Amino acid sequence: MAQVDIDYLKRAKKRRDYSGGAISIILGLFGIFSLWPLLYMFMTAFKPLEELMLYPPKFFVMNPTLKNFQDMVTVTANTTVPFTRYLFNTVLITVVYLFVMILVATMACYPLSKHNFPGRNFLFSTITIAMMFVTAATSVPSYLIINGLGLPNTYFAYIIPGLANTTGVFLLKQFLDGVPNEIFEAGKIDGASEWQLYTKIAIPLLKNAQATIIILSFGGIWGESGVAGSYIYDEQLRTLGWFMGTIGGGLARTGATTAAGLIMSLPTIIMFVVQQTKVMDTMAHSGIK
Amino acid sequence: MSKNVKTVKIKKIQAQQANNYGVVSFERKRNLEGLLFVIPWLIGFIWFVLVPLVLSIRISFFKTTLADLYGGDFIGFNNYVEIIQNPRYGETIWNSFLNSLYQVPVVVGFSLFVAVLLKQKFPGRTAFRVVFFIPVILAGVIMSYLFGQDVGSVSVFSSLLTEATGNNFIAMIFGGGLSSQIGSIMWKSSVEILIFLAALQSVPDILYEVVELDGATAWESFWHVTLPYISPFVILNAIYALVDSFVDSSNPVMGLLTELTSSASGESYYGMASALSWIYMLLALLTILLFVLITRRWLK
Repeated sequence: MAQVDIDYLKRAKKRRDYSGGAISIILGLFGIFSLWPLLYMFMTAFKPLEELMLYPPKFFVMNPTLKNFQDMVTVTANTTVPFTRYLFNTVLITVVYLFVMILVATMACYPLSKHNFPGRNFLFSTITIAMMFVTAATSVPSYLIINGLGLPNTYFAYIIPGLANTTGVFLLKQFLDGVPNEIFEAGKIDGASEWQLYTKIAIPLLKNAQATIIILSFGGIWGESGVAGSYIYDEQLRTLGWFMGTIGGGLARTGATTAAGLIMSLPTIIMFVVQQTKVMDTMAHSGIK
Repeated sequence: MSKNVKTVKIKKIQAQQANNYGVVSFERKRNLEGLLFVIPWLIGFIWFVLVPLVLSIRISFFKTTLADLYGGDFIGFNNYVEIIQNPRYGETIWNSFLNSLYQVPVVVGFSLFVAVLLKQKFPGRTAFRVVFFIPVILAGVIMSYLFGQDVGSVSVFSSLLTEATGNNFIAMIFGGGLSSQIGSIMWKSSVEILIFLAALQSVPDILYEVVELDGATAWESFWHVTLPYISPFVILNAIYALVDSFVDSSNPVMGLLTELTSSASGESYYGMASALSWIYMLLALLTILLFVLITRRWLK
């Protein structure tokens, strides 16, 4: 009897292994499509100018060269404002922006998920609808408002709009919905104030969700060039992303642009690889409920 | 007399209720405190999302240009009429609307297929999940970088089949067009895959055990357990896919918008651009509303 069972299990196991391989192959084929643009970017940065000019472009680099990177260094060495100033601006803006955005978004999501104040549901549906709107439609009014608030030509022009992040609040709220209310009830019974419930319970529980939002918005703010172009007139206050965008122009600098593009996206890629487990975890929960 | 007694009684009950409210007001106080937490974000939301939206409605009724952002003449629906009557704008909007519509079932079907596979146990599952999540994180960075160059109309993916397979007969038959299609669908489906994966994980295992005992095959259990269970997410994903392709930056309508607002065209027609976005947006909202109304019966 026991013998028969073991035989059956062995067979069953064999069968499952076989299907696992098939799944790997199918997903592997699609996975190539997912990785392709990433690899393409790496390849391009090492291509000499003749290969960059090929039409249609080839994927594999034939004579890899570091000339693009050398070009980029040459360009960055001859700027009116020192290169380090752009770097400093970008690092400062990125850090402050992400901190303010996370603080404001976590504070907003806690009552949205766990309290029952008047207008809560209305507010949440407004967020959901606002996520759908085309930002291009509101570019002019946004411009008027930022001007009206006196933000142009200050670091605030980069940071203040981060207060209005909708996707972050949406994701955080969905994630907090999955946390049982009993944890907060227990805190209340122990006499915790609302501020303590927020800092001691909600914040630690939302760690992974915060990591996700940081990664999702990091790329945007790190490569920021739109605000620097339209609201900042002082070269000293402009960002690395803006500067990297200006080094193009002219055939000779095509190579430098590809190298700059790779350098600019590396921090985002590294951030993602380092934090990916947290992100996967949050994403697996945020859709539920 | 009896009336008096009654009113006294009522007053007593009201007093008791007031007392009860005294207890509840602890909760209410907390709720109001919670409102304080929302305020910083709410201010930002109103200033940078709601007010611009409302203002853009106003702008769409004026002859607004860059030289005269606050003013211009009130011209009623003229901007709207001009856009609908101009065959170039009208057609572009309609075509990209149809294009978005036909993309939805493809994206939803594909992402469901991949999510079901990703849920199975197989070697390298975690690595595969990371690979399929890459587009979510890097879409903005990489795509803007790739399209920022003069790669022009040739898609990144078109080189995939021809070069990765070494120009063999498969590539000859299908050409670069197919890999471009697969690639763009793949990159558009990543968020939907994640939502489906999360949904699939919420299906209780016990349901599968029950149908397995009843002798159902994997195919049957998918149609009779999985799909009914995750149907709300099918709808959610359909809506998400629709919105996503509507606001996609490679969408021809977005091209029209930048063309209208860029000063390269001599004057920047902000009024018309606002009208165009509102027509487009209303089309999207109507479609979603219709879709929700139709599927509501299927859901319940």
